[in-house]
Amino acid sequence: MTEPELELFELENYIKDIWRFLPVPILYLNPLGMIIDAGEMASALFNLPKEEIIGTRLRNYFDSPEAIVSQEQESEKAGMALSREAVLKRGAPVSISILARKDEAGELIGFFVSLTDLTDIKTFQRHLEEKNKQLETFNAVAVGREIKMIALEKEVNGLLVELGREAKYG
Amino acid sequence: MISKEEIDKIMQTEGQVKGVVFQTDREYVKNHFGYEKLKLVEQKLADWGHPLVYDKIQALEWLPAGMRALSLLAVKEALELKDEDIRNMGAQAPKFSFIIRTLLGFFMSIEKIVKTSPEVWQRHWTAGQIVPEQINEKSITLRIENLNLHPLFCKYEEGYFERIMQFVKPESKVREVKCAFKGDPYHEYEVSWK
Repeated sequence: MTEPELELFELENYIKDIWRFLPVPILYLNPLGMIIDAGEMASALFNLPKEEIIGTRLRNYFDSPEAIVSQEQESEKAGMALSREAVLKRGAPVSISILARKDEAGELIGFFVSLTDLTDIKTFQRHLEEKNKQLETFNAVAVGREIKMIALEKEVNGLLVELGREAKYG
Repeated sequence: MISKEEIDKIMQTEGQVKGVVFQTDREYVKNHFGYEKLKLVEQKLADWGHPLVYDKIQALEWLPAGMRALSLLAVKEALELKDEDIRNMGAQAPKFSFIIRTLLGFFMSIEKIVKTSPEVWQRHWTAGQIVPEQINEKSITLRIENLNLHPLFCKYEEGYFERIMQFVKPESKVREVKCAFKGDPYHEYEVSWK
């Protein structure tokens, strides 16, 4: 191999290693929204081998394909569109960020897409909301009870004073 | 079973091909049949007198053009596959090749394919040339001239071109409509979509 070819070969290996390492699901799309490359974690998220993901359209994995198309278009105009929430067809909520790639002439050449599975976060969020609701209910009951206690103590003090005795509750 | 005479004739083909195409063969066999089966393919090639160690092939190195056909023939014979399986192997190749997927970034429209595929061919081959032509708004032809390897290679290319086109037009279908092994002056593939 010539020196430029060797450099290209090393660059290819470098890029392959990055794709293998990426701890977050990452995809690369062509301008038509077709998946051209996928990191290993994307396989895990879609529950499909990488080779089955490549050649399919990103929008087809979602409940609302039009939202994905809209985000692709937004990122093309603005350069990127970050942290939009969507739901996969299998029910998992995800956060999607899209970066549009353009060549020197400004023509769109592809998109990088990162996906974050929000399932655990949403479950934890629902759990916290439930707990908060229980605490609010308990708090309302506890405060109500306290107010009632104060009122009763006042009443008792009043009755004691009427009887010529000393108030009991300070 | 291929004869020694056929093998010798294939290996007389002038020109070279980039190593990346053999890497896709390797990945296909490993993914579909397992690493042990790859060793059977290598043994077949060694038996034919043209050994190849797939794991050692670099994507950018040049190998004799004839080895392209021999690799496909070795896969077919060693694994007892049919021609349709080799066509499917061609269809899977773009999914396994990093370089091909990178080049797919250039194929964003039919017009771009027609314009850039000859240059892309030359990045992979020093033999033959591809001549694309847009026939109408629902079809193009891809003609391969001056490269006659083996009918099995024609089958492989049919699947390969179909997959490449499906990145731009998902409903694309490809079939070989002219073949030098059937007396035509070149190989021609008709690509059509709805």
